[in-house]
Amino acid sequence: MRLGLLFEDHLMGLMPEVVLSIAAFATLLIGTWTRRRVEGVS
Amino acid sequence: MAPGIGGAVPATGALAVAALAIAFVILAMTPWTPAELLHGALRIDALSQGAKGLILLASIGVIALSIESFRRDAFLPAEGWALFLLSALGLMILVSAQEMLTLYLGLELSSFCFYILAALKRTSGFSTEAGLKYFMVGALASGLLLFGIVLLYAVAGSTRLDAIGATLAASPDVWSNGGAVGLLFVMSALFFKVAAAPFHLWVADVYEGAPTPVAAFFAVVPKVAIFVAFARITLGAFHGLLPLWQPLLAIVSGLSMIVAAFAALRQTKIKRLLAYSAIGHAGYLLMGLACGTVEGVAAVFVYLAVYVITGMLLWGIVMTCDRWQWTD
Repeated sequence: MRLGLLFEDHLMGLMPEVVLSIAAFATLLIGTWTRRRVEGVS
Repeated sequence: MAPGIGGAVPATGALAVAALAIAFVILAMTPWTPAELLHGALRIDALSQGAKGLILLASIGVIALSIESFRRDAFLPAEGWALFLLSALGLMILVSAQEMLTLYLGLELSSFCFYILAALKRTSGFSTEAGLKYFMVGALASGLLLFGIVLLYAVAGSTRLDAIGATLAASPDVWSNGGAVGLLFVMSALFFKVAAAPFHLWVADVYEGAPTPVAAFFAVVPKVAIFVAFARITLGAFHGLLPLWQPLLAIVSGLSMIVAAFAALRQTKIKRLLAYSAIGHAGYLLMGLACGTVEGVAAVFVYLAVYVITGMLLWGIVMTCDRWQWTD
């Protein structure tokens, strides 16, 4: 409930920032995963 | 870099551009009615939303232009795109900051990414030197900013910009005790960040040493955010101290124009020339703020929009020449 209110009151106005944060971490994960796959690091 | 990673660079670059485009669409759909978020730490208004739009568009342009350079030069790990996105995120926090510590956090988030990006080409001594120089100067600017914030907190009892402005309006005398010095420290830190003379000595070396796409990002995107923060501080919280900061802005602005114009005459490398061009533009933008009026800020914003478009195109040409080894 409180989490829902927090999202509604504060984070709805920051959706572009939330999208960028998620994309940054996704890019980081994909990049790291690709490197490990190519370099054969387990 | 292992050969297979080269394929991941355009893919992750395209993901970064797509994320920025989605963020731009969401921003365009969000109502621009003024509101405070996270208990007053951030503020949404027309200025912040317009600046965020400009930051997102500039980031999309620079990253889209950079993908081919990074793929061909084969030095950028695909994770590097995350740094571009995080720095854009920091700048977006900076333009919404309604409180000094949030402003500091936004500035540092973007700055940390810039230090790493400048030194990204690990096989190049120039790139490492650029990253180290940028880090040293950035650390000094960061220290100045923090010291200024501490002094302002000591005087006003709050780090919120509106509370600082209210204290200034209620009792102008307290500002002779350290508040004015705090404002000077904060402004000096921002002068470092916008590369205004005489705080500009790092710019040419960093632009020259950093990889060209990274230098393009440095030159175009952060200016938008830092000038909006400058406008919020000077014309928002500290409008009552106009007689103090107006002459300072005018002097730094004039100095930046003159230094950049004369120093650029001696340059033989296009990246150093563009670095001095950036210093000159910082001077022109500061002159708009030095007016101390809303019309001045509007003029700064229009100038920034034009600067972003021309900067992107100009650096795009440099990146193309760089691919053909024409930059020297």
